[in-house]
Amino acid sequence: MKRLLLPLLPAIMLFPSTLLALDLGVNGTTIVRYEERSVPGFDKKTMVPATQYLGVDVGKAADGHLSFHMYGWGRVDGADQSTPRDSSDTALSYGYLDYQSPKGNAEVKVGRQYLYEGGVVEQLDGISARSDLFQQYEGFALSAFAGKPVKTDRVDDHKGDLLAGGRLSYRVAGVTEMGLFLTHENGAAAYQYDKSTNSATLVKDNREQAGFDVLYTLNRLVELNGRSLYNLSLKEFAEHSYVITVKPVAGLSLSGSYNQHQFKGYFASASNPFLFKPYDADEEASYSGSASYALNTATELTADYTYYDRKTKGTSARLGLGGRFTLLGGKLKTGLDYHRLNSAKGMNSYHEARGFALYDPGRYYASLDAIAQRYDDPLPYLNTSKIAYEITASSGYRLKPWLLLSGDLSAGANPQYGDQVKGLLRLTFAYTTTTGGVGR
Amino acid sequence: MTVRSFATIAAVLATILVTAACSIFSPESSFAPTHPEALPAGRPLCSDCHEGSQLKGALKPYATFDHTADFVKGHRFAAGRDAQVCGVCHAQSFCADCHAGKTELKPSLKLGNRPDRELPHRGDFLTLHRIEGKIDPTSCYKCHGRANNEKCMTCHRR
Repeated sequence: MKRLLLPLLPAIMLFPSTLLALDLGVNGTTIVRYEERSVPGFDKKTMVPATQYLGVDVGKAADGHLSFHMYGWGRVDGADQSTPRDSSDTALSYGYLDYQSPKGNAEVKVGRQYLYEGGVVEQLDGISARSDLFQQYEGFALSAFAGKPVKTDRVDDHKGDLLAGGRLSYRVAGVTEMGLFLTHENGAAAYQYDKSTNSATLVKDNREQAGFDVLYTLNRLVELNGRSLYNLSLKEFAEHSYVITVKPVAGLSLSGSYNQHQFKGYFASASNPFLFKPYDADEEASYSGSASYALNTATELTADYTYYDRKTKGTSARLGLGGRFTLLGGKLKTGLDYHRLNSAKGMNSYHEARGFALYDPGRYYASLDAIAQRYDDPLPYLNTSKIAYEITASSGYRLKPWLLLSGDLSAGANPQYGDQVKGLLRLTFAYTTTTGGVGR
Repeated sequence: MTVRSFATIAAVLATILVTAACSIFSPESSFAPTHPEALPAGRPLCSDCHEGSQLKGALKPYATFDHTADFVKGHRFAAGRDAQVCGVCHAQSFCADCHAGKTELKPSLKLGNRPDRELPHRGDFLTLHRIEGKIDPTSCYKCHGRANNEKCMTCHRR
């Protein structure tokens, strides 16, 4: 793909788009990394992979409502191979035509696309459409999609050959939205894992899920978000996820959430059933609370607590505090975070701290980002260090308003690899003829 | 039945179907596909400018889309209901920085120049995932469960 698209780049950027009255956006990032890796027992490796990300957005075509969007990447390795598989790789994340009707928020997309519909999250080669319904009964909307699920690199990725579904929703202005969604994937394997024999058994050759999602707001002070997901193929609940947020005074936000997953229903169609084991005796629930308070536009403080309960492993808890500070009229952004995880019996616990500062007056920027963990005990099968840290310094200069040359240098140590020094060079461009707020 | 009468019936049926289908779609104007003005840097609070009003089309208060810390954590709900509203300000590539079927670099490495963005797996997550994956593997599954997880397969084999 890179070989095809790179030669087109200058032509695309120099094309007189105003003559065609099109909105044109081309963005990309070129990253060249350098890494020396020395692992005892293995040959020393020097890796210099170069990765090119490229996105193209063309808008206001046809009658002004048709657009095209594309994004992908390609990588070639200099020196030694950077991954166990290949010395080069490519991926097309999305590439689709999009027609947005001036009426009824109707939209049709054709091509490779991501779908987010209630609890449906899919990558699809096909068609999707949505529209608001019924002028006289305002609030109904319908979406539908059909096509082929995007396969992974693995031959046996348990994905099917046909994916279809949709969502029907109803909204009461300013109060609620409720949705029902459905997914059917033909030929997608659903597995059940047997712990005693360490084997996964095929129990269904399709994947069918149905779900319900809800938003409820009360006087803009209270907001409830949530969804439940049911595995129709196995007749098992897969997920319940609900969050309630209260904003009692300006700047203060308090939230509580409940998440629960049945592994048998949730993991049944995992690409790798030996990593995500759809073991029917296992389930997980978490309860969390968080608070954020914006003292003013420059200071936001946060606190969070999560209690985890996994049936086969026990209970764990995480507590955290943080702050974000914006200074010098927005030119300096800083942040500090601390978290402590008390893990279930038999698992390691750790402290984590992070701090960062980003100074960006316009023509150039500089940033520093440091993160560290301290484990209570050494980790099994790794070196005996209980400390992991990484400090990343980044700096860049805008050669043009749409062209940024930057570099990162990071140093650290961890129980996995020991001492590490890594560096990369990055060239980022974002050319657009659009004057609105799109493209961030 | 002659070909002509079949064609006539088919044409009438098609006309009825198309008319019925068109009448169920709302004729109300769509909301703007892009924000008319460039937004300042940083996380926006929509209600700062659109105080007390409602986003037409989405039928929700602008405050529902305020990018508070809680909103960023739970943005999956807004994306599942109002992906078109997200698209008013965000290009799809903004989502693809983290949510992609196949990724080459972890987001915090690709965007090492943006420490202010909320990005997963900063620092030495390879060591951390030995703990986090046991506490709550469903948090891994959301991104890695059905995507291109060849890097996971390097170690996680049968």
